[in-house]
Amino acid sequence: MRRTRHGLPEAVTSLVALTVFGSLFIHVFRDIFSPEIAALAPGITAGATAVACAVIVAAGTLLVRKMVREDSTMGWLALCGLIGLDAEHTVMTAKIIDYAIATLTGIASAAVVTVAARNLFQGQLAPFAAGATLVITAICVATATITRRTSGAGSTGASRESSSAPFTTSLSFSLVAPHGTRSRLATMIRWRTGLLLRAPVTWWFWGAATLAFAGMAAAASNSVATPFVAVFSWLAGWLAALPLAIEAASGNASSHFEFSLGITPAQMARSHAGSGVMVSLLAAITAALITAICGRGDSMLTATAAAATAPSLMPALLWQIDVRRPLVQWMTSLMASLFLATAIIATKAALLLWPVVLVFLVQHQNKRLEAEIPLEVR
Amino acid sequence: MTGLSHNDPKETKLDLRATAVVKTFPAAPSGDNTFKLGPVDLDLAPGTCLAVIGPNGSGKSTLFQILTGNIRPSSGSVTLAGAPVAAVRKDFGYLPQHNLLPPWATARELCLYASGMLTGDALHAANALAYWDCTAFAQRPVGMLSAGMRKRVGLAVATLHDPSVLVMDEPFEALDLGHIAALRQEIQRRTESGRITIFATHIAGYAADLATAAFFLHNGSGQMMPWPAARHQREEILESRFAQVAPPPRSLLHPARVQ
Repeated sequence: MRRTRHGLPEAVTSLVALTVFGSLFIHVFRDIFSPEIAALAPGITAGATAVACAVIVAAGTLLVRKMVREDSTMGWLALCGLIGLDAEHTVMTAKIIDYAIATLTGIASAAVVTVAARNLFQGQLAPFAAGATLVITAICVATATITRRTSGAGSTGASRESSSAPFTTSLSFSLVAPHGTRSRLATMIRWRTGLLLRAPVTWWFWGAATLAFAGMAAAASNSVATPFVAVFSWLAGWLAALPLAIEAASGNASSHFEFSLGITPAQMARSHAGSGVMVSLLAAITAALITAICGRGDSMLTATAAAATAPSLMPALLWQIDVRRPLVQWMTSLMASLFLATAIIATKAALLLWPVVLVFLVQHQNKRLEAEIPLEVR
Repeated sequence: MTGLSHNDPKETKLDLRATAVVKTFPAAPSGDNTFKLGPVDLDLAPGTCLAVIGPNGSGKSTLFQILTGNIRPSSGSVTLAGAPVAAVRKDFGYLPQHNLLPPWATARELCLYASGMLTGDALHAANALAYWDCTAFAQRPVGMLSAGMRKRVGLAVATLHDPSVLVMDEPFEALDLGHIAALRQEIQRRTESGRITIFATHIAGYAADLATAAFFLHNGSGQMMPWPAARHQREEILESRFAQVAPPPRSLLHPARVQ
């Protein structure tokens, strides 16, 4: 299936804004971060702000362009009257607008590179920090350029699809069902994970999880004791796991769709478990990277395990009480994962407890699933 | 519109049988009474188009969920050509009344996913989207569509594999006139080709036009209705049956103001 890319300007703007706020956070609280991390903040802020300006300009111009390119719209007629053109000049006017967009984007990109280069050559940043800044800004510029090309700016092609899809829907998390070689379960996991990634609420919770990971980084870079680092890590993992419960509630409401495809409740639960494994890996890898970057090899195993507890347990808790109420799953996962994480923090031998708890929960849940899926009927 | 027939070599003329099906819901904590559906007995031969009719809350949706295997009956069984319904779910197409679908998936993705799971042929998805006129909004998330558009997406998903049994809960609701005609045409084609179609409706005319049999449900108890060949007789039977169970229409105005 062809990917839909409309809405990417909004996505890039959001990403850049998040970067700015993140680096501002690091800059404001630079005393509690390691010097290397704190040194990155000014460069990232400057570069990301410049990119944000470029993207906002490009997105705004795109909107104007879309409005005036529609021959039948009032906007187009008004513009024609204003600048004394008749409708036959549509193509020429569109080209002029395209060139204007290209020029504006070029100027903004040049400003970004200038900011980053100045930071590098004037010695305002350490070479490592300046290099990292350059890489980040280069990625932002590349994204903005791709956005401009795929959204229609810089091209005179008129056959663009119009869509009012939210940006998370437009980020091309492909939900295409593979035909042929892939297993049925792999297809279902991919479908489920795609839906999870598309839901805007997922990104709100993952943003909160990012803040918890930032707290973990602050703790780790200041030689705080391992339990504190691990508690932040567990909190980040728990926040990252919460959207799984929301997606399960949504999936349960539309379960008739999957049942009619021959999918059994047990298979549905396994696809949720697949999503849970992916979120667990994401949280664990992030925690491991943070401890590695902060030079806290002593805390790596505990923090990594703590981050993965909640996302790994959540899929086994979904049908224990009532899948239709995410708040119930949030509370049960809070209790279960906190219990397990506390044990792991106390002693690494408690890692052996993890599979035991998981197997017990899965078996209990399977019995519940055999009984009945709670559907709204009557 | 040419219909959704696949001309597959597989056997599609199967009989559906529900034997002494009972479903009991326990009393709610709020104090609501226990609801009991059944016992229901159905024996539908290939080519049957069954209209399920009854007042609101009579158990139509519950019956449909049981027939499609989405919920298990408290007792009794449902079989398709002798096989338990849970084992042959792929032979069913189901359009629920509220038709909740994953809100962030597009119509096209839903149909492709369904066709991948059911037939392995993406062409079926394209045909269904085209037949139900969903192509124009196929790239938009289902959660952003209007009720009528969502209904058409639901119909596309339910019919793309041309199932042996198609169960639809109030399918005409929210559809515009053009798509009502398309749905009527599809139901007639299915009946002529020996497939089973079951639908619930509150519009006597649709039941009288399309159904080859009718089942009346009231307070969980159901029975087959006499179903003469003449259309006007069918409508008369439906109206007289409803008059027996449904309360007479009341004025919205206060009696004192009516006087």
